[in-house]
Amino acid sequence: MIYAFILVPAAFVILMSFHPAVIPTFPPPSVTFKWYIELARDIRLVKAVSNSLIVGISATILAGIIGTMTSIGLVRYRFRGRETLSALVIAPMVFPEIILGASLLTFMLRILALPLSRYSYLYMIVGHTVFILPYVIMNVHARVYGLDRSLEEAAMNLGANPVQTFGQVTLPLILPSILSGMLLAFAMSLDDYTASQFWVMPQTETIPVRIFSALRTELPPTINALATLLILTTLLLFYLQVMVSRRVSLRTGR
Amino acid sequence: MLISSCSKWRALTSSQFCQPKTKECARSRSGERLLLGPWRSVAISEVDQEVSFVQLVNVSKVFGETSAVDHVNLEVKKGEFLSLLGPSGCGKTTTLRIIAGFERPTEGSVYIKGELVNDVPPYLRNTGMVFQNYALFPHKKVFANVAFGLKYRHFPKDEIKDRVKKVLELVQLPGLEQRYPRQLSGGQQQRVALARALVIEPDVLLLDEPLSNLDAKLRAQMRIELRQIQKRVGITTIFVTHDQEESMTLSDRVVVMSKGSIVEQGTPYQLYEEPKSHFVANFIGQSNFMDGKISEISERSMTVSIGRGPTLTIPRRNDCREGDDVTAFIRYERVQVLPAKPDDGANVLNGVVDHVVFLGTNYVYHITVSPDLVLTAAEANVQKKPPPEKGSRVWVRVEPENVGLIRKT
Amino acid sequence: MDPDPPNRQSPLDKGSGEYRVGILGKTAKLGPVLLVGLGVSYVSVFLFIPIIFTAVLSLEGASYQHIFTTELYRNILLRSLRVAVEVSVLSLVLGYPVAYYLAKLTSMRRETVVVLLMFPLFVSFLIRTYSWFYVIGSRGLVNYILLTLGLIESPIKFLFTEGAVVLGLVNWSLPLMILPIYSAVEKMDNNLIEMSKNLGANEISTFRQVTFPLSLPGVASGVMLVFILSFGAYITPAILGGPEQAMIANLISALYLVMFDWPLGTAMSVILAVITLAIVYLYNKIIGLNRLLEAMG
Repeated sequence: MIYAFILVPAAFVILMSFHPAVIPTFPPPSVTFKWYIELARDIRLVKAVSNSLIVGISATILAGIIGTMTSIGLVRYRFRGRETLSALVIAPMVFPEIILGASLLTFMLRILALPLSRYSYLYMIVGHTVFILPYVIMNVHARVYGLDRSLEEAAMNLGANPVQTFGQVTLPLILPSILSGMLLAFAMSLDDYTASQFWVMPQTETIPVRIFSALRTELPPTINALATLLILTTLLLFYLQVMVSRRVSLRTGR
Repeated sequence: MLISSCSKWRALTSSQFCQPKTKECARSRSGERLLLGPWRSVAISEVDQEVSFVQLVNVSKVFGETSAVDHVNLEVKKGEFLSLLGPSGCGKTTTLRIIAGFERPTEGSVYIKGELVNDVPPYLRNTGMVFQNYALFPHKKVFANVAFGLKYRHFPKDEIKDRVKKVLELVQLPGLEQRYPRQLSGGQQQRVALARALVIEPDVLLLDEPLSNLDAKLRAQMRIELRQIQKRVGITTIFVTHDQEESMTLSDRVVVMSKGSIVEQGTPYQLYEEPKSHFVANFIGQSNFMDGKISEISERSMTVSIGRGPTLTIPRRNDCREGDDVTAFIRYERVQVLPAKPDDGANVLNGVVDHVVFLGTNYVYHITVSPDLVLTAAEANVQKKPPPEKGSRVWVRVEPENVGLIRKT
Repeated sequence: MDPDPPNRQSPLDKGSGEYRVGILGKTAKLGPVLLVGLGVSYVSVFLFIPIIFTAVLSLEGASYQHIFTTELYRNILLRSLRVAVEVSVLSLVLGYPVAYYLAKLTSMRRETVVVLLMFPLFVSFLIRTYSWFYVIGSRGLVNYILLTLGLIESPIKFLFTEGAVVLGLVNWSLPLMILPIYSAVEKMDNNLIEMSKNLGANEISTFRQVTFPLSLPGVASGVMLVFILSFGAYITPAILGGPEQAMIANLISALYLVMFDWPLGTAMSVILAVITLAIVYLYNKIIGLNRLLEAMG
């Protein structure tokens, strides 16, 4: 179906990562793993991986916390301008990332006077959080909305104050959604180039940045190997996310 | 200042309540009272504490434009089983929630055990609530569900275990501690919800239509069990329902509500036999209603003339005068259907059977007495026999004391 | 049964400051402000304020006139618009049937479908884009097949054309287009369709008169999303397109990072932002952004 159309090209990358020659031709003459070994030796790539993880995990955690709080606030409280605010928070998803990248750079450099060379990680984390936030919010929002209020009322009736109610009842029940959103967010962060290009320095290069620059100059097969690993990782993330979502329905018995 | 705010904070977070001056903390054990936090204002109600365990004085709750609860005055005695009965939207659930603390009254005061609780949040009131959908925590086992309230009252572990075991035995679910709610049937879940509310030994037990989600047979069974448990434990209970049969079966007293206010209250007997309003007479039980006027008053009896037609004789009452507009009502089961004209007796009418309904336990007849008077009669099916046929002529009699009267003021 | 809505206000709904519990009384009113405020302020600070700032900055720098008069920049703008329109139309045409088909499938549950559609989003877009090299490149699959079959003499240049860019973007936007339409169609009341058939309309008429109009909000969501993101796309034109295919985003990037012409860069950003906002605003007016939340969540 149309589905294949979307995915087939990706399959090729995986294929090509096993190709022995430097310049890939189709069809591949033989299969080899040597690029993967090269990959491990390439310091620049390894650094890129660690940067992606640092930025990704930090931004995801930050987005998880902020996103959850915002979602709860939006669902549970009624106040004027609520709809506008919820639209506002979802906005980063609709906005072209290029604008985010460029303006954040402008802003932080000029107004906040944070030199890129020293604060690159900060830029990255802050920036990533902005555009992955909507992913968390969307996941959590639906769950919070569907959560039966009487559960919280019951908890309060039995003696738990609002804080305790949240910790004992609300949070455990929305946790799968939070995790699900965070997994998606992490995957998005892992993949970002468009915005990241404005915020990286050579030493804070992330995986996509490295891949992109490699595409510009040459296409070492190690990149393919890296790409394959990345795909596998995201597939794993996806699988995890599905598992977590399943747990949501299982646990509530609905 | 620091000390008292510390104690306030401790009280908030640990549900241990401290007196600001003495810094003594009183926990709830059976028999001892829970002292409320220092920020509540203590106002002892005018009524004797012993008599009135829960009291609502002029309580109203307004949502936007509508009054969900409209100037309600209610008193519940200690150990009483009280039902709030009424159709949907009458405000009974809102009233219950106000007592529980989930809604704050727009007007009026709520007293529990003589203390004003308007400003007390639900987690500091000692009420136990059973929700319509049970609201069992799906991510906790039965044990954790039932023990939940005990945890926040700081009982030691062994005692919690013991109490949970005992209360589960009380609701006849022994040994189910390690199950999850989703593994239980509807009836079992309901009992766990009840156990959870009872185990904390609340001052008041609040039940919000807890039996509505059960099927008819189970519901009937649970009703009996519920009442037994309540009697055994002796806990003051407020029960919300729209099912009049339920409220009649279970309650010591029934409060009938409509559109936010209390229409009438009384024992099931009083409400059934001597309703004071058309609404209650109609809502509880099934009756024939007839508009009429008091045409005659004599020493022992009164005569009500119905429209242009028949007249009914009823025992004399002191609250009516000649010429008053009234509504007479006769419960279906009080209309006697006789094959032949009786020799004596008042209130004998003649009619044609329009319609016969066979319900198994009862027969229901629709009898046309006159063009503007159709009586419905219900007859218990105590003897297997062929019923009167449609179109046949029958005689109808009603004992005078069985004719109810509602004044139309 | 009392008509309590499933999400009636609970004590945690302190919109009017119902609760006053000692020190918590203050936080009760503060609650919503605190929670939502955090998320909103974060986004505001790091997204909107920078954008506004950028806009302000741009005014003092290069003149917009310069942009619109220079042919190069005008071309890029037009090209971006053109590509965005092409992608939107294509993905709509391709995506709608898929969405419709999926919505009509009774065997799959909603969740499964959503999961399936979300799946491609997880795999790195960058990788997906450049893997097209292996398909439409001169040494790629398509050319290989064509050569082997003898249909062509030498490889056709597919890459680095506008077509490639459109292709890549459609590849990406399909899930984005399908999802809202699927949501809209799936949520439609089947009774309406049944009624229509009952009243005598055939399949085509029913579709035209009932299904399609009702699915329009979903269509609008999809089109809006796809258009905006295609218009401001960076990666696809950068990788699959050559210098001839540069779009707005590429221009902005170049201005900022290569030519260090920040005044012009900010100006271009502003243009992009304004166009994006205009579309979003339009969408919001006609349909409302909250639909998006429902469609996706």
